[in-house]
Amino acid sequence: MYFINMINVCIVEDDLEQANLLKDYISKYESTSKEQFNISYLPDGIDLVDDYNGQFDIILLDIQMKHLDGMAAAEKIRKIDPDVIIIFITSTVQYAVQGYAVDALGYVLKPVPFTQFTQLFDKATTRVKSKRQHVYIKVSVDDKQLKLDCDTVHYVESSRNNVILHCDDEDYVTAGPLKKFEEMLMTHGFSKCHNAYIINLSFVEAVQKEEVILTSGEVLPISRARKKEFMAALTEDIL
Amino acid sequence: MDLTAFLDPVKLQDTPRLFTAIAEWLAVFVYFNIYKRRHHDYIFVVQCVFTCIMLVLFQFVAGLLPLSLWIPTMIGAVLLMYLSLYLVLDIKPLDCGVITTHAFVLAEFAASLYKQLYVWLVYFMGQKQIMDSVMIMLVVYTLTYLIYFNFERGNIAPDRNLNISRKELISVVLTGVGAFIMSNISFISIRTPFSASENMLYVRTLVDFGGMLMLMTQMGRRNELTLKNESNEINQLFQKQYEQYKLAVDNSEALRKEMHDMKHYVMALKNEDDPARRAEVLEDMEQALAIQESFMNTGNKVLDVILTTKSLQCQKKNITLNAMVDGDLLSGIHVKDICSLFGNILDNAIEATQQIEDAEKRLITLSVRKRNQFIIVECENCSDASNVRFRSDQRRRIFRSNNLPKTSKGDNVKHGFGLKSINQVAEKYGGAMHCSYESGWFKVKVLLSNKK
Repeated sequence: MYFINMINVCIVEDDLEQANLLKDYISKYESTSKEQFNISYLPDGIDLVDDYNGQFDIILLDIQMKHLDGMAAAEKIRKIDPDVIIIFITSTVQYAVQGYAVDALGYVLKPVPFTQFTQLFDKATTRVKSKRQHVYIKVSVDDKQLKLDCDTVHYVESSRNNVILHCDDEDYVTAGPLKKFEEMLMTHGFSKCHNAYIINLSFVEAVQKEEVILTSGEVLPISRARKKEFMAALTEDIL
Repeated sequence: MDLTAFLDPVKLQDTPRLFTAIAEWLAVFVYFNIYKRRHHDYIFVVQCVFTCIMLVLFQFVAGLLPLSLWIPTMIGAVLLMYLSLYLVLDIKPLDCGVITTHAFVLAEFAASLYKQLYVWLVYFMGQKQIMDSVMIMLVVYTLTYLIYFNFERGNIAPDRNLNISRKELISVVLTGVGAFIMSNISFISIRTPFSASENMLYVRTLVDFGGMLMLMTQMGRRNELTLKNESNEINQLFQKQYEQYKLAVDNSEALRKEMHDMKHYVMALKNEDDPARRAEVLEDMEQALAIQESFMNTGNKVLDVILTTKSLQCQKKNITLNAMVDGDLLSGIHVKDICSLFGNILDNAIEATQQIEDAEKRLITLSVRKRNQFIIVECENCSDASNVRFRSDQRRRIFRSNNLPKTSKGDNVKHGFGLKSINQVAEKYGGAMHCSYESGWFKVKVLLSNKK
């Protein structure tokens, strides 16, 4: 079951007592926040992997379990779902340090203290929410009004009097000036690297001395005067 | 309008005001190119034009004033040079005073040398033409400033503040003022014991040259000292690193011993019936385990040593250190920079966290991970709002690089470098640093370019 207006959490833990503690923590957290949570419980990693189809937003995963341990389970899950947030609940640091390998958000040591749990859980819910939230911009292309999702816009280019929006699968040409888009996009994870370009920071693959390389392989120039500000924005925005 | 003072003064020994202005502007321009500037783009060009016009206009007005106001106009010119330098360069007020003195003496020397050569030419050729005057000015200025630029460039680091002390400034200004007075005294009165009546132009050039040399030597020596101090500091850092390594070796010795003792603990437990004694043994075991837990294995040996040391430190202070670190990513980063980066990040975090009363909130999380071609180092810790010093009406604050949180320690000469050196490392590897404080959590995020 997946509830679109709730945050779907799964606790994967072989120790029932621990699992109940985590459930209590989540309801405690729920009462202080505006979010609603739908909690599922699974006793082993194998149960999680067996019929996983992206139905969870957050997975609280024990590392030491009988049949399939947490790290291996996480690896399998990642292959199916790159977005789900994984938090390890563990009794030894040893493996948890390697959590980066499966892009885990973090880990908490058992016995889990509430403050630590809240901090991680807070971060996790913020991420889930921002992923669900979509910002749209209205653009008129060839006399038609289009509603574009900001997340699909790779970069915006100014060309003469027009502005070209380079999106996932298509480029749209609309009337300028670039400044209009700058005002709209700056607060949504975009930054200007050059007088003629505004880049969606989540598509930045690398920054070199005088150019920005996008994940699509495109290379855009970065001006010396804007580099510092651009790097600051990127550092703030990058996950 | 009377332009004679401005272009071709009546008295042969007076420098045309326009040429004085050019000399002054070129002198500040030399420093624009040596020291770090505020702007690099067209704003800099606008600033250059603006300061040039300002200095020329000032000299033009000064030429119209009576000669009795000569001293005040000289002071005015120096102040204008100071303003120009302060406007264009990213400089501290005291440092700017020193640079202004240098620039002023340089301008005096160049103008004086030009005049001497021009007067000499007039005596030999017997004719007085503006074109010759301009030609000589161009040649003399070009050569003087180019040579000076090449020497002075070695004396001043382009990317660092000079951090001149008040005492140093006074001695520099005195040298400058001394040179100025001695070189110009003959023009005010030839009746002082220091006045030259015949070779006054030559004496002026000579004294200005001497003054300039003195100032340059002073600056050169100062620069040498700074470099020496810096290498001392780096050596100290290496020493510290070495000590950390030694500590790590000691730690692993201790670990081996504890592991060995564990056997005895188990034996003792088996045979012990007294509950109090049992509890004691169990506590010993717990401690041994704690030491073992603080050992980090990230894949980067240097980082392992730092993390192990710091996590032992954390354990002593009841701080939880959660680290999720991919040490392999750091193989392209210099050992010194790893030490500086993580040492500073963790020291700051520990310093802030240990002051928190509630032991459950004493928490530091560190993560090193990869996103695209970037390495992200992120450290979060709980911190009292009073430590971050932000206005009470703010709940969230982002710090810019020119507005980093100030040190909370009293001694701001020795402290407060932590965040700055983190920023330096970030910039060295083509990245940036981001600091923020939100609802009780202080966060440092460092972006490094992964060049592999």
